[in-house]
Amino acid sequence: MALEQQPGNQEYRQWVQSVFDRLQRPLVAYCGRLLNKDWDRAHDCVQEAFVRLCHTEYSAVESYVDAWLFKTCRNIVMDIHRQESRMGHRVETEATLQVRSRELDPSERVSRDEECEELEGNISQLPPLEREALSLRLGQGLSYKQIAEVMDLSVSHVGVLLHQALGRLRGSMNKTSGATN
Amino acid sequence: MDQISNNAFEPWMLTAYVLNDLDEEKRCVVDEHLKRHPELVSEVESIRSMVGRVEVELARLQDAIPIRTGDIRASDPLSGALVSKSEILHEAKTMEGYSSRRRGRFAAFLLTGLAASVAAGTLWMVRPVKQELSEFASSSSTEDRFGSLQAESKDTAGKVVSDAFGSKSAIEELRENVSDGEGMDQGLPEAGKSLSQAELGLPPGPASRDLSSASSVPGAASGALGLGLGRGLGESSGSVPRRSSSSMLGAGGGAGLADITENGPAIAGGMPSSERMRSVESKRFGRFAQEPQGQADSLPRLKLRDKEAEVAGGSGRYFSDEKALWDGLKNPAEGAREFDVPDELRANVPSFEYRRPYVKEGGDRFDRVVENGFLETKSEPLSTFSIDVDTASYTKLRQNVLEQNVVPRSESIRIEEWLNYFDYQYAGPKGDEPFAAHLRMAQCPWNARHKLVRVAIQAKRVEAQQRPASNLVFLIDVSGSMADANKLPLVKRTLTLLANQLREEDRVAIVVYAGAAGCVLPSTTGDQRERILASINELQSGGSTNGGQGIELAYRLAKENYIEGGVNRVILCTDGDFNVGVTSNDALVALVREQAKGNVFMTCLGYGSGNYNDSMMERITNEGNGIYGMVDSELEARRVMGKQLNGNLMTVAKDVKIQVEFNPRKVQSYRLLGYENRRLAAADFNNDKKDAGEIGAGHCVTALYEVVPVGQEGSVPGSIDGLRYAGGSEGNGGLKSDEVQVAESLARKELAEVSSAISKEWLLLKVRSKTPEGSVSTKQEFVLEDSNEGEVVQGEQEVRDMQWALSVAEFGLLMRRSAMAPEMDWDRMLTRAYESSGEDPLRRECVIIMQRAKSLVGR
Repeated sequence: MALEQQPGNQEYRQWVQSVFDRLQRPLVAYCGRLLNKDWDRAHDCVQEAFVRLCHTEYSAVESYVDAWLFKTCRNIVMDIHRQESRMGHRVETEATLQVRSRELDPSERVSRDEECEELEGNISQLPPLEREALSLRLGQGLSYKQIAEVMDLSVSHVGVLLHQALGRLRGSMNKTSGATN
Repeated sequence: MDQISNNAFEPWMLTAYVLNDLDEEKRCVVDEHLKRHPELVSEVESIRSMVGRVEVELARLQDAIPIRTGDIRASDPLSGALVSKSEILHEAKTMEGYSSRRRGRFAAFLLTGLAASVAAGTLWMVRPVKQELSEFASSSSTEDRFGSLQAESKDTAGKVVSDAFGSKSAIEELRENVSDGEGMDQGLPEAGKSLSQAELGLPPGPASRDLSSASSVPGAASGALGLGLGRGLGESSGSVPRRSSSSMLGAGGGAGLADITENGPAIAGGMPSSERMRSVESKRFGRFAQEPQGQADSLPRLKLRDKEAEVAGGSGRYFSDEKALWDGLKNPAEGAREFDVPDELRANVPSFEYRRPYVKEGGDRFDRVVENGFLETKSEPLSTFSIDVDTASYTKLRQNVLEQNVVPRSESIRIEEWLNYFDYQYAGPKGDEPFAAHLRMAQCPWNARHKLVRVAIQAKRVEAQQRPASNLVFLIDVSGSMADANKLPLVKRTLTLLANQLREEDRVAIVVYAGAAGCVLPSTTGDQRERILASINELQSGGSTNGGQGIELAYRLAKENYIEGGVNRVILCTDGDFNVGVTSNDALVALVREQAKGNVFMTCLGYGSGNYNDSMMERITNEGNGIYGMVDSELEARRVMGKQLNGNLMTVAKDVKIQVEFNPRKVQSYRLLGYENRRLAAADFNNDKKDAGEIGAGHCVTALYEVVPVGQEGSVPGSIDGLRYAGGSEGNGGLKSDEVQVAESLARKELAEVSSAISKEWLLLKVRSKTPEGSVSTKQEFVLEDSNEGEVVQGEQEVRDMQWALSVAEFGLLMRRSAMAPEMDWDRMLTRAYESSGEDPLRRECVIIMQRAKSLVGR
């Protein structure tokens, strides 16, 4: 289906609008997580991604627009990271995407009583790549294949990441529930 | 060789298996592996439960994110970004080759507000400016600009302020040009240059960006410039004068630049330039007006939140100046909004409102469904659920498979609705009882060690002539989206079918809603058929959807014409995009619930697909004691309005709840197939305040339990080993006080005495219901005994019904790729379905759906 990318083209507008309506929140959630919950910036990134979407040939992205947008958002976020480190600013964001740092400052882990917040804490303690894959799969509902496209990994690597992430979560939940009993 | 490497089991596949993300081949590998290593089954279950929790948690976190909605229109990705792609800055090369035809068209779009003469003038002026501009702009790629934009926002305020002051004169000059409008084409390139020089202290990105925004002003009319320009065009007149006039660039500089991203795009509409400036500013401040926190909002971007007080104090004067300006412009802001997009482009652009339900692809929305798991009889002997005779899920399946050739998403599969779609020949109740129940047991086709118990409930049948007088109000969605052939025309067809069956004592009214709600047909008696048919024929679609008003009007009409002892019902026909307008979703549901207490019930008929809000419809009908069906074809319309009309209109019992108590002597564990969102707490069964499903005349409800007989340990996928320390006998050993232990042993003794009688019983079925007008429920009890087991083979029809129910359930499990059914099998299921379909056209059709689905799933 060839849609003319003209501003006056209803169909194209509607397509973009529907994609926007559908994906804005998941994308913001995704970017925000990569940007240390700076939702403002996350919005900016998503906005930028949509601008780029409109500047890209419709036929080239139409079939996999979800993955494309996540990927673009990811690139934008990574650009921000790169830029900031070059400018000598402290890279505040926790996800220095390619670095696998397992330990987080324990003080960052705010211990709250409720179990779900426990879970939230456990999720945020996962290694960045695992956390990203987990959030893409279970938060944003992308398929393994889409995640592989977004994160530039093989499908089986994604599978391993998710498996490890869930394994870790199970492990830590068991530990805590075992401790309380 | 390939085969071997493909078929090797790897641990990560377990997770992928749970997440339903394996192709058929790998899935088989995992299945095989699980069979060989039953110890992994519990791991699968553990992963599954973790997945469920993480999903819930992530959804919760995601919902908590503050989403900008106030300025969505302003930041509408379309308005700014719809500049053709060849106009993007770093593609300067192609810029000149850009066809003037396309540009012309785009100009026309943007120029709607601008006088034609100005348009013609500026259009010609654009080229040189743009050329020059591209030289600047090409030095920084989009990414760079974006990055430095971010970087700049981190800059200390002081530095920016000093730069701002340095560039003030240039900006002043620019402003003159801007407000001048006409002469700016000459002045601007220079102004732009000097501006960029003035801002040399800043990173190059923002400078070139400012330049591009500034220079784009003459181009604004044509809007022919890409990213930076299209966005910046309004901003240049918006932020630049603001700086010079208030000198608060320190705070506003970074934010202003960042704001370009948000506000710029929307300001593409051309207007006479003096006008433009105002509307741009008002636009800008319109956002602030909407968000009282707007100002504070832009500060953290500069990481100034901690210094907020200081900044506000230090430049308080400017803040108040700005505020005054904003306030003054607040009202124009409303008007300016309309400049964003010409009206003709706005029509039918869906309004932005995020809705909770889970969306993967396509526009239809469904709530998540988590499959019921096995429950231990010892710890949870009671299974309680509310009955449900909705059938929308099956219709959706048919639509997906037969028309769209896709596999329905697993969350749209509600097995109980598939089961209940078909007619079964259950014997009706004797005497005054509202229901008859039929309990049967059979081998479980997908797990040889398990049994299936079918719970069938048949409501008493009422002949058409005995139907009490009906007072019906149709509430029809006539919004633009209903124009499709399978929507409004089908609604008309449905109504016509109904109108032909109305009797003298029946009343019908029609309310439509779109942008506004209106009554098309006041309540009319059934004998005035011509009048009713005429109003049905006149229905037309157009406009947006505002369900809230319509629903109030419909209920009012229903109340006004209330028939004591009759059928009083609002029937909603919609494609489901029920953006509610005057009231929130919760308020709407509350309204429906309130009205249901006054015995005006609600039926929802869903039409079409693509924009279908299943979860909302289900919620409304569940609350409104209603029935929820989907109409996708004339055949279905005939079914709903013909054969099932009595059942759909006439409720014989409401708040029907079912509780099954399993006998731990016979049943080790059990699970209910389907009814996932209908489960109730055991204590709710006897609580008459708790709302539940309703049942119409002649309706039958079928539910299937998969039962693990005692002595079949380990047959459940994901079962855990017996607990070693959970107490040698039955209780929790030392954890219990002596008194409890004594009481328990007494109870056991008593149990032993009656055990001879009871040990034959599998389960006890209790049905609680109220009469349609009643508020106190009555209870009926039925027992499934060993002897019933033998009755499996009874009449031919009964065998067929049972086999059919099993097939449909297995079909549902197959479609959901249930992990709970290790031996499910397409071919055996199809054979069984084919044999039991008989002459029933609906079943025949279902067999076709099954066959098609099999090939779709296998693909």
